[in-house]
Amino acid sequence: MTRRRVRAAGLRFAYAGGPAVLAGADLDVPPGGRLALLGANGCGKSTLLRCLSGALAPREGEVTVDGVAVDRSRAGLRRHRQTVQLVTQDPDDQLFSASVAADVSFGPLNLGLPEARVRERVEEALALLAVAHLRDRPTHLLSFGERKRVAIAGAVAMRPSVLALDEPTAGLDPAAVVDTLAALDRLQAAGTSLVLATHDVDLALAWADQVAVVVAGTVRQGDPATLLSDVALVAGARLQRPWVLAVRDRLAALGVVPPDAGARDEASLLALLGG
Amino acid sequence: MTAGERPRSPGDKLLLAGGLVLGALLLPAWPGCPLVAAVAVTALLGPAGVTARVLARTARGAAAFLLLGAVGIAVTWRPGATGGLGLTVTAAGASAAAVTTAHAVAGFAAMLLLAATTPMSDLLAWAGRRGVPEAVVDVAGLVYRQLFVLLATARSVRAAQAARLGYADRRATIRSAAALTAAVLVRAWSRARRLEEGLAGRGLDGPLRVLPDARPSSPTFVAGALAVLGSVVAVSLAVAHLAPLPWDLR
Repeated sequence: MTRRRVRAAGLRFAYAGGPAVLAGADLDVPPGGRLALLGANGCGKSTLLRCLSGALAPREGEVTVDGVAVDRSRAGLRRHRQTVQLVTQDPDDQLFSASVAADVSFGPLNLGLPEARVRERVEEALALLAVAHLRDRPTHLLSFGERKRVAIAGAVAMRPSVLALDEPTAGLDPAAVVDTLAALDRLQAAGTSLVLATHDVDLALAWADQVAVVVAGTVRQGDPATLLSDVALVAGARLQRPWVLAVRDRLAALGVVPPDAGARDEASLLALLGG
Repeated sequence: MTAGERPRSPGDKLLLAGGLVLGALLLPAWPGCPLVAAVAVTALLGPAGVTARVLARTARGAAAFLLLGAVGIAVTWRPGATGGLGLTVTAAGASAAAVTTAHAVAGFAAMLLLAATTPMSDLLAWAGRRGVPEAVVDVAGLVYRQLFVLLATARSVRAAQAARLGYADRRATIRSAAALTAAVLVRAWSRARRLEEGLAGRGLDGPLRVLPDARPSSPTFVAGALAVLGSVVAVSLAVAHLAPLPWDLR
């Protein structure tokens, strides 16, 4: 897997007849890393992801791959889609074929790969997402969580350097969330950079190497604990402070833990307490 | 869809089911149609693994339709001929109704055999490999897939309407049905646009190419299917010729 640096600089975008959604947004996807894109509903997270993937052309600004601006010609977009793949929030926006394996094979076939290679990629993607047992199942017989993972498999089969996922855990039960995040871990271990749009601040704090908070059409990007401790930023983005940070700060005020103690999830918080 | 016959080539299954459908249409109503229906039902309950309960439930809708049709054929309306409503059942009418019903039941059983053992995706892929234009296969596949998505949408919208008394009386029902239709149409349009974008993101560049799941034809099954079909034809024609029913059942 070739690691590529995908960046967005000064993106401006508005839907026809509507207000500006992005007003000079910058984003830097760390190669091989995990970036959580946070923000309230309607703040522009999905729009930003669609600009990154090439689905939307920004009015101003540019998206670059290893410093080279994305070529929006047909051939250029075809190349770009081998670098950046987007998994949309609703899996039914991506699943079209009547069987799982057939649907996952769609992307690799469009890359012009020979059938044998396509079959390899399909099996690899199904295994990574732990949905190999569903390969012959009609897509309309899958549960919501299964359709989400199959949609991810369809994108993964393209072997992108960057996989952008729009709220991949929304609507999933806790077990399905764990399964999905485990699958993303496997993808990252294989070298894929991950961008995950969510408004789950607790997930972002626990999972991401960096977070990018979308507020007023712009983006602030940085360390998860630092950004999510910024009360004004969190409030401005209509988010809530992660409970782990709130509890840690309270414990620090009580002198139970040092003020600069790092904690990102339940396990690390308990570790601070000697648990 | 049963898993029992999934690994078999769609072409083989089409041969048997298609042959039975042709038999249902062309063979003499007696004994051709009962023979065709018996073969189809035996295959359904046997190798296809369909339970009797599922078969009965599936046949319910068709049975009601067939019954209505049969009554319509059997009953003749001659106003003023016999007094009263003028409705009579003549021998010709009854015979025609019986023949039509026999053909319909046999044809339905044969089609059900195909539907219960062969996913639409397999049939479409098979058709594509046999020269049906790509555009036709793609459109059929998309419509098939989106049908389920839109049905789910329609069910959700209807349930939401019903929870707010949308079907409490006739007037509300008409209003809600109209709103439901509009909602589903708008969502279908929106979904089509989003699907196009989703597919473009995976490199859609014309035809909707997916990996074929080719299953080889089984010479044993083909021979067996031809033998069964041949037997049905031979027995039907022989019995119809040698031992016709007393009344005219063509």
